[in-house]
Amino acid sequence: MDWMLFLLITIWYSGIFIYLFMLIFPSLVYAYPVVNNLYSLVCHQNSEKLISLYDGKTLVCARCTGIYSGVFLLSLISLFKNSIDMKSKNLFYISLFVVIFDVLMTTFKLYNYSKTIAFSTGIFFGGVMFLYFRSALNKLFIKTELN
Amino acid sequence: MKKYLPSIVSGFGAGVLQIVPILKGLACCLIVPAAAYAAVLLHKKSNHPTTKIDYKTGLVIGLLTGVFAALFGSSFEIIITFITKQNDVMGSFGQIQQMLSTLPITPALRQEVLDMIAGVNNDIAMYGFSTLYTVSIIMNNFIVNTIFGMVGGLVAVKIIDSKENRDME
Repeated sequence: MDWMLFLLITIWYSGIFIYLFMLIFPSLVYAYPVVNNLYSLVCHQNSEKLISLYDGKTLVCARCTGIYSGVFLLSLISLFKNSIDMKSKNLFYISLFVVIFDVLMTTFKLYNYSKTIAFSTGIFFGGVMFLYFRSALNKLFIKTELN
Repeated sequence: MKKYLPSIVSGFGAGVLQIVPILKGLACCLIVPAAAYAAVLLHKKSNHPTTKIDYKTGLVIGLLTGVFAALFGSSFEIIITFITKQNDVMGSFGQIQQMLSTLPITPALRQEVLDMIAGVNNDIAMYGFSTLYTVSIIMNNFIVNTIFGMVGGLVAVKIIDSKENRDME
């Protein structure tokens, strides 16, 4: 299950960096409009908030790139580490609070938007979300197998 | 019908939020998972306020919320595009054009892709409808929203579950 999950997450995560793949496989350019539209559903894609890659940009903003990076990294680590049962929900609320705090502060211009901060808050939130998701998925499969 | 109501209500809410630019900018990818969380909570409150929700139910509620969010989101998007004869694709044409100019591809390939996007833009500007755009938006909405909905549903049960565990301790 972990390998399958990792594979799916890797495919999704790779899509964010399609520009880099297009440098290697130019024919991917045909898929670009559709893939761009796919990621536009999950991110505002504000050009000032996208991460620059050579002459191109990521398909999602710094915060979303952080979220998916966190999910990807934790899914990679989970291949070698046993499942952690997330019993407390405090970590979830802390990570969510950090993201919301940064969004509100930058929205109301209390401090300037920073891609680094947005990415960092995203990676923390994404990692925590993955831990809860994996823990829930494990329980789902265990209960399904028992039934 | 009653058992689908939380998913329909939350899916409708997510569908609306997905097309509001400012809210979309704030919530990003969290709209559908948050809608799934709300649907699980609504389901619990309306059906089983004292018993635990199992993960399978959470997964199904999340999936249904994603399906309804995709259904409403796609419908609103298509209707608004039809009325206003413009959308995000038209706005991002310049950016795509600029990005394509930085890629090491042949001018013919670049032109072919630009013609394809220009065709979609022209159809939208003239008729408010493009088959390619409509198919793309429906497919993408269903793929993304159902996956994000299921993730949200599972995480919701996990959080509600852990809350109950703590309350019982």
